[in-house]
Amino acid sequence: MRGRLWLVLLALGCTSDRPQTVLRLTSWQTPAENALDLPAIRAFEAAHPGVRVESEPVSNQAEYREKVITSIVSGAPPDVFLLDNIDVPAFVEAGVLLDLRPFAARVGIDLEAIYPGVLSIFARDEAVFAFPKGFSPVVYYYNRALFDAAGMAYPRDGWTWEEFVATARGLTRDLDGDGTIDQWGTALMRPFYAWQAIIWSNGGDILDSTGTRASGSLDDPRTVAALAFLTDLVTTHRVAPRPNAFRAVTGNEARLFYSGRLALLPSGHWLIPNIRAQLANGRLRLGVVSVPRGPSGTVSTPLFASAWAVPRNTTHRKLAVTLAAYLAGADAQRSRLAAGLELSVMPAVQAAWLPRDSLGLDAAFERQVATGRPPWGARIARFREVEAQLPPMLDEVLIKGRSPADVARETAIRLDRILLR
Amino acid sequence: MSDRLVAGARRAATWACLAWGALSLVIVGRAWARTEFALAAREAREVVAAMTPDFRLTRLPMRRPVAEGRIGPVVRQMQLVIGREAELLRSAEQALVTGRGWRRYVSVPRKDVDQWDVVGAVVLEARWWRGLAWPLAVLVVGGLLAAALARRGINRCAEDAATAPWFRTADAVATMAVGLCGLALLATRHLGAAATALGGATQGTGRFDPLTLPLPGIRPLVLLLALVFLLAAAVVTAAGWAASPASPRSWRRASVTAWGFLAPSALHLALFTLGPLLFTGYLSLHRWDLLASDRPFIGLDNYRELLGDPQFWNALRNTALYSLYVPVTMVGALGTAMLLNRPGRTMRVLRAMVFLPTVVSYVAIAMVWQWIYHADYGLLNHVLRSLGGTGVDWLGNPSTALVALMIVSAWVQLGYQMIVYLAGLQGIPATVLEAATLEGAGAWQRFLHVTWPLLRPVSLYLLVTGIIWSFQVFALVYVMTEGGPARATDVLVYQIYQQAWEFRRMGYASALSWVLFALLLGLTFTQWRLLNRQGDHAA
Repeated sequence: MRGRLWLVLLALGCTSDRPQTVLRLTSWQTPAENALDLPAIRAFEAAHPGVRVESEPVSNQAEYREKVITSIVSGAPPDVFLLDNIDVPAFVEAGVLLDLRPFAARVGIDLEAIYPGVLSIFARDEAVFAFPKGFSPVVYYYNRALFDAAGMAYPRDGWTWEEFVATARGLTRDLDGDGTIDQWGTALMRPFYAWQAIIWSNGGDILDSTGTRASGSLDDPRTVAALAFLTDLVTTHRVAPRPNAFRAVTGNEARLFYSGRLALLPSGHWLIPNIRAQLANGRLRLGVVSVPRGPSGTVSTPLFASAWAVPRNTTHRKLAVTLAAYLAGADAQRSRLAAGLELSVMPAVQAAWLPRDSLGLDAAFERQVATGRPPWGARIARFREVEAQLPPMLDEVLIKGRSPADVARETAIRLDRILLR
Repeated sequence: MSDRLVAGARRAATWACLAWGALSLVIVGRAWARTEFALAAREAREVVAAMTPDFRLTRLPMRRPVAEGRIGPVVRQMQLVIGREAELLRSAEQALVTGRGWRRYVSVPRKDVDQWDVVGAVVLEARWWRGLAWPLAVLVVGGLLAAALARRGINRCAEDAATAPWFRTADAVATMAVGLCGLALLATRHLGAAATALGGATQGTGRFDPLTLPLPGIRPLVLLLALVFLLAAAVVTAAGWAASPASPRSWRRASVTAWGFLAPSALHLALFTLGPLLFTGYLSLHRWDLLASDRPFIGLDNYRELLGDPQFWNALRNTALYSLYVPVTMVGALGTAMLLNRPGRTMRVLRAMVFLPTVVSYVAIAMVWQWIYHADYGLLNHVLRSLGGTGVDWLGNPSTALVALMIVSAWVQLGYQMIVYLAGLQGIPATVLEAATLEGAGAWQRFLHVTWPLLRPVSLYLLVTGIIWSFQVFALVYVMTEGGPARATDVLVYQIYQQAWEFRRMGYASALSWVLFALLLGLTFTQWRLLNRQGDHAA
């Protein structure tokens, strides 16, 4: 007994008081996504003895944002954190992010090797405020099995609204003849990210080019036509189910799609990790096609990206920037590509990957990049307030039966007021 | 034998207590020292921040030069740091604490212009024991203030309030002096930032320059003033106690004891309720972006905007409509309570079952009800359809969404209200009911003329607290509808959340909170009035 006590005391006495630096890393990623970063973190720790990376993920993105903002403002920031494109303007305007450009070369990040369109989301003038992690354009996924069963040709990039409606109609079916539809052509999702591309692809927009005014853009005939096109899918053409207004069921469209009861689904690359296994074993056969273009526009889609940022008030600047570089570097990009999470922000890494892409979807994604633009969220600081006003527009048309033009005009006036504030 | 055993046990207990005390002392001491070293490191970082790239100090007001005799140890310490530079560089950002006993040194790295590489260090001697000044000051001031307040309380209670004028003056002066003393101590912030002293900088590898900087001393004049006030306050308070004509010892003791018992909860209330409440009031008068550094005063603009915003009125209306579930649930709860107000194991099990939803997390409940309400696969529509009806898109339809939420809330609250009613029912004397029965009253008459009137205070309590709770509904809306569809379930607290955390408009959200607070205050006031009237009736 006494011997054991001495052992314990000895062990306590031997604990090293060598100073150890702890870097705090946080993101909203899922555990599986965080696991993809582990090799980069281990490599960083191996190269920096005495430094430990402590990962503090928050899976709920809203809570994550609260945590990051409060920790930065209270002076106890994480050393590296994942920055969503929608938070870039506010964080940059508040001056809380470190400009990484002066250090990029020192930590081995070649900014020239990144898609300029993606880098521009996180850059202002000469400054670069985060190292991009990955990105995805919004596309339409289609279920090849449903097309085959209907004897229809697969859609092709640059297709028109008419072609889209005709296709969706051909794929909307009442399979058991009970009078209710069992298989839907497509889905209309309430969140704005899912229909921003439709407006752009008809030459419309929600705000003017400076992002300070909605009137003249949101109520522009091209935007109104896009709104009408979207809502008609539910009301006139009946090729999409009513968009559910509530949160847990917004995943419903995806579930319908996975189970072969929905043919065309607007989404991004982030869908793939959930269904990788089914794709790999052939139980789900998918294709990817551009969003359809309207009569007065060309295909244009938002590029959603996230990036590793370093708060300006971190006490571990050098180590933090280095860690961000490890997390955003080519090796980390490759491991995320292999998991199917997102596209690589480095064209060279992406090109080297394509021949090895066993799912065969990334080439189609890659083609959409050229039509991509930074989303509004990456451009104006008040976008969350703007965005909150947009899905209710669909409700007004679909539920209350109001005309898209009226709803657009009314919302535009409201947005003008918000943007003026 | 047994005596020896008892004595042994006592001895063991004494030793255990001593050991426990010693251990506590060590732990508290270490924690204290750590705090002080952290303060010293902060101080050192301030010095670093105030240095130009060529190691000149720019802005360090109120600092005195190092006394000649103190430079020696610092230089030695810096040599030590230079010797350990490899380690210092590796743990680049951390403060090193070296030395033993009273002599402790805190070194922080000094970096280049980019804050990238370590090019030197600043070493401070940490006079950590000085940090004790703060808690001591707080104790003294707090004690004096408590004494002054207690004495005033006693005097007010005393029947013989005819006191000498000089005493009344002294009384006022004492309280004022204590207050002023507190203010003065607050002004001498540096009294607490004790970890300071000598400093130096190493520049590059192998070179060092003693710095003639340091250190933030206590501002002598302010300290002097504080001490004078403190002394004056102590003297006057003591005099007040001595001269207090109507302060029997027991009163004094009772008063001090009462304050002692009140202090923890009063402090807690002040810190975590009153403080934030007042702060939101302050926030509501500013444009307060969570991230932005300038937060201009805008007067009542937030309130003006709020009153002119149709979405606020919509949320208010929805909240008020939502609160209607409370009386409806109460009817159900009373019925259930009367049904289950019988002895027996079955009844107990049933009561537990009805009460169960009250203890489940709202988020979990919301998830389950989402499935129940689902338009296509939901349980409710399945039942409706199997009964020959048509399905309803419960949460997707603006005219049913709020009702759907109300049903969930009613289901959750039913158990709680039932328990309160059960308590009320069991408080009704059986003799009264018996008497009514003997008088020939039927069951309905007994309920109408005996049970219901006697339950009125319970009903009133349930109604008003229920409505107050219902005005604070958030979790259900947040999880189930996010305020939709078409803003049919947008409620006040959801708007507060959205404005504060999604849009970062803390000022506007605070204004909303104050409006909600005013509404709830009004409701509580009404409850108070009604309950009082009820009490009068009973009397």
